[in-house]
Amino acid sequence: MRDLEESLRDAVLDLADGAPLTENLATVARARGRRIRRRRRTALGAFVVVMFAAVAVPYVALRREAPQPVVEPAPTVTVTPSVLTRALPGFSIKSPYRLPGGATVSMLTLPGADDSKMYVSLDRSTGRYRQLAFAYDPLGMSADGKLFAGSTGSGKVRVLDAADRTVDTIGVRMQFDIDSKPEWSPDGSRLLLPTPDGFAVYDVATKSHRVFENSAIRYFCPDLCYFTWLPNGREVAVGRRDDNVPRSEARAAVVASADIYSADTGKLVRSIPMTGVPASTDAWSPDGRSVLVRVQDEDFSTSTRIADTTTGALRGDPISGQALFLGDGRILAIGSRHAELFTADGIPLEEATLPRQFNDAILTVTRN
Amino acid sequence: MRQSLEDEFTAFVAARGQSLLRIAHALTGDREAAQDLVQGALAKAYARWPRIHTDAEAYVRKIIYNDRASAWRRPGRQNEVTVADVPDVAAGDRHDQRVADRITVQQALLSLPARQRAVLVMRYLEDRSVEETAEALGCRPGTVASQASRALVKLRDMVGDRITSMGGAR
Repeated sequence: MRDLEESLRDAVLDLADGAPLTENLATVARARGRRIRRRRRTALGAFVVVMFAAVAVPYVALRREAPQPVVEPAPTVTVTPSVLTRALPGFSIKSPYRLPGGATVSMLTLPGADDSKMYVSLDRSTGRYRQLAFAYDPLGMSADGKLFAGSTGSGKVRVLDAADRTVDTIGVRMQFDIDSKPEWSPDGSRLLLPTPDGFAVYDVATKSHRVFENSAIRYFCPDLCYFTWLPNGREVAVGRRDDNVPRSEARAAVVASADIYSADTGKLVRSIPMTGVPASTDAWSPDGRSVLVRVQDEDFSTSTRIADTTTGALRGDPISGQALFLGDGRILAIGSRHAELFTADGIPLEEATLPRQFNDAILTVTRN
Repeated sequence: MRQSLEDEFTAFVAARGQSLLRIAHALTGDREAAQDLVQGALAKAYARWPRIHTDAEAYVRKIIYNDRASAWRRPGRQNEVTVADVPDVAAGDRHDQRVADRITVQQALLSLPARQRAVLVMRYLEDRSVEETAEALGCRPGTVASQASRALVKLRDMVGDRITSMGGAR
C-alpha cells in the first residue's frame, strides 16, 4: 500500500486538474468589482455629504433646517405590559445622537474605500461628530473619546488623539482574533492589548507597558477569543474553553469559564463558571451581579445572554445585537435596524427603529 | 481606473486565472463553486487594483484561501461534503490500486472542514512551507502544523488501514 501523503498529493493534483477552463473570468470579475466599488462609494458618499454639508452649505441654508430632535432618555425603570415601538430621528453630525435609555452614539464605523474603515466620532467638547483622519482596523477608542489606539502592523501600537497626533508608540505586537481590539479600561487610564502569548497592559500616565506571557490563555481560548475589562479597571476577563471536550474545526468550542486576570500582575485571579464570554467592557451590570455574555451554539451561531457573575447561570431570553448595561441597570441592545431596551432581567421595555443612515454603520455606544 | 491598469488586470487574469481556478477547485471539489470563489477574489482585487497590482497574485490567493476557510464559520453554511462511508474499492493490479487510493483519499479530503482542506491544498498542491501557509491564512505556524496533523489523522481514520504508512508533512 502506498504512503498516505503520496496518495494525498495525487488526490489534490487530480482535484486541481478537474478545474473548469477559464471563461470570461476577467469580464465577470470586473463587473463584480465595480459593484463592490459602487457600494463602498455609496456608503462613504452618504456620510461624506452629511459630514461636509455643515461646512460647505451657506449659513442661511443651515438656518432653514429644522432642528433635529433628540431622543430623551426614559425617566424611570418600569416594566410595561406591551413593548413600545417608535422610529428614532435621523442622525446629524451637529449634535450627540442619543439612543433609548440615554446612551450616546460615540462613534460610527463605516465601510471606507478599498476595504478600509472610516470612523466618525463624537467630539465631546463641541458636541459634534467629525471624521477621523486615520483608519486603523481594529481601532480602540477610550470611553471619553479622547484617545485612540491601533496597530501599525509592524509590531507596534500607536496611541493617538482625534487630531491624529501621536501620544505614544507602544512596542507590542498585537494578536488579531475575531472581535479583539485594543481595549481601553473604563476610566481610560490603561490600554489592554492582546498578544500572541498573552496580553499587555499600557499605562497612559506613565507611558509604560507590561507584557504578561501566558501561553495557556490562548491555548484554552474558545472561538470567541478576546479580552475585556472588568468595571474595576484592574482586572481583565477572557473566555476559557472546556478542555474535556475534544476540539473540532467543525463545531464551536464549548466555553467552561470566564477567567479573570489581574492587570497589575498578569496572574489568574479567579474563574467564573460560564457558558459564554463577557460581551464587552460595558457588559457588567452596575450592581456587579450580572454580565452579558456571548454564547455560541455548536454551529457557531451567537446570541447574547444575561449571566450571573457568581454561578454563570443564564437568565432571560437571548438578546440579539450588541448589548450593554446602562448606568441605571437597564440593558440596551443595538441590532442592525433596531435598538431595544430591556430590564436587568431581560424583559423587553421599548423598541426603536434606527434611522437608515445607520444601515451600513457599526455603532460604538457610550452609556451616560 | 486608468486604461493601463485595466489592461494590466486583463493580462493578469489571462495569465493566472487557470492556476487560480485549479487551487479553487482543489479547495471546493465543485466547478461552479470554484469559479464563484475565483471570480469573487478577482472582483475584490479589481476593486482595489491600483493599490495591489504590484503583488496581485499573493493578494488574490490569500482571498481565495481565506474566503473558503472562513466560509465554514458562517452559520447556516454547510461546506463539508458528507461522506458517510468511504467506498470500498475492489482490489486489482498495482495501477488500479493507485487509482483506488487516489479516489478514496480525494473523497475523504473533500469531507474535511474547509480550513483543514485549505492547509492541505497549500502544503500539497502548492508546496508551501508552514510559514508561508500561516501567512496566507493569517494564523500562526503552530496552527498550520496542528491543522495539518489533525487533517492527516482524520484522513487516516476515514480511509482506514488500507493506506497504512504515513510520513511527516514536508
